[in-house]
Amino acid sequence: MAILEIKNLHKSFGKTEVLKGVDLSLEKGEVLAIIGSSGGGKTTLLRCINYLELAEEGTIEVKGELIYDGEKSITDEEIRKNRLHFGMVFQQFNLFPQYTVKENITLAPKLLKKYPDAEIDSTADELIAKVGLSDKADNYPWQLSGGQQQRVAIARAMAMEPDILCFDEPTSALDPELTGEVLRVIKSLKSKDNTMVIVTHEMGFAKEVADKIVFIDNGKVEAAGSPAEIFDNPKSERLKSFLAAMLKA
Amino acid sequence: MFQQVMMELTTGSVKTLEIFFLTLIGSLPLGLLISFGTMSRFLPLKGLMKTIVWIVRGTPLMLQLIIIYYGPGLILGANIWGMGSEGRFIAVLVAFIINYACYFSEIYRGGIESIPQGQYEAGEVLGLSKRQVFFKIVLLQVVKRILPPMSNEFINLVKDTSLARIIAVYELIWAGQVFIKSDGLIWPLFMTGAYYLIFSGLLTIAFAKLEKKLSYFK
Repeated sequence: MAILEIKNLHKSFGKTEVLKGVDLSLEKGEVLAIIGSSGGGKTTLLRCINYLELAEEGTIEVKGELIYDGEKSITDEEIRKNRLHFGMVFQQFNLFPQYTVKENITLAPKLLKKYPDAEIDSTADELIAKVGLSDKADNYPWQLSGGQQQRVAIARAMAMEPDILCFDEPTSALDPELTGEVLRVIKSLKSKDNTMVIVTHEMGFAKEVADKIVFIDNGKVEAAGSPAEIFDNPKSERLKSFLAAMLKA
Repeated sequence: MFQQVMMELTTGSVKTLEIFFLTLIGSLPLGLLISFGTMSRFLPLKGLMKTIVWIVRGTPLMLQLIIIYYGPGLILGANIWGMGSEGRFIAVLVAFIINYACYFSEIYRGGIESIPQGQYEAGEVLGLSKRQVFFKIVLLQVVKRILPPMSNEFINLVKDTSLARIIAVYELIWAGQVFIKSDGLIWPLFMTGAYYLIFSGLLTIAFAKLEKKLSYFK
């Protein structure tokens, strides 16, 4: 059974239709890379999955459970509960500046009383070690580089043990020399338990890490398939020209 | 004579301090509520709150004091403030609290709206409620940003307390001015000036300390 099943998602901002019926399906442990040109709807798709935007039409299922239906209204309470299926890593990190690295990670689990505090603390230590920042646990975000901040953001999202971890262009706000460390951390998370959806412009990374690639163009899934199918044997003309443009850049 | 002056000034300054602190206790939280009102998506509430803020900020505090104190008696035919100096003092507090809450509300609004949307979103995707996001994530960042304008308002309030005498609430300047009439002395009035300076000096130091305390994050 698919861990994530999205059907016919539509989203408009005013008169502009950004998502024009997107379908997606993902199995547990898979890594999905979403590629496409800016303004094509990639980020909006991710934001709809995380309830940061509400789609007007379409459904989202997680592990067979219907958690969103554009036809029906949804309460704030349901949103809060359902979005815990997902973790989100933002382009701009969005760490909480007044909290240390460790506090950033433990804040939500403690407020939501997920586990006893001691357990949350020790899990946080493990996560911090996993993203390679054990020596920075008590530092504040402004004392970290962008790459380090993004690694904290990843640990923070993982602390809530989401079923699916979403990344919205996780390296786009970083200096080129800092993207590697973040991509390495994401790559290290790949396992049979971690399901990830990554919106990215890093084609090499997508090719290497993703099990599945979706090319979104003009609000629709223009092409989908394995990295080999997408990169080595693109069928869609739009995809071909997109890849050509990316290679040139 | 000096002793007598000091006695009077101390009595007056106690009243001034009472007005200052009680006004803050009332207006700091009330201002937050008003700022939520002015940012509300419920347009009638937003309109109402913006109108109130406009009226309160757009008219002199002195006028508000007079209307709030005499208004109910003249319009309703009943003095809702109670008799004597106690009643006048309550009227002063009500006028000051409303006035300062409106100023604070705009400072809060500026602070709250300056926090990037990403902070709210990051909190919400972690499953926090809007209330938790505001109190645990946004508020301290707002406090840090609004300290400089707040210190302005606090110092203004120190000086505005002198308006209380308009409805015969005995405060510091009044205490000093008494000696002009009774003894032809001007120096007690200079002394009151010193009181204000010392008090606003202490506030300036306190705010600087607070800013320093919050400088651990950016």
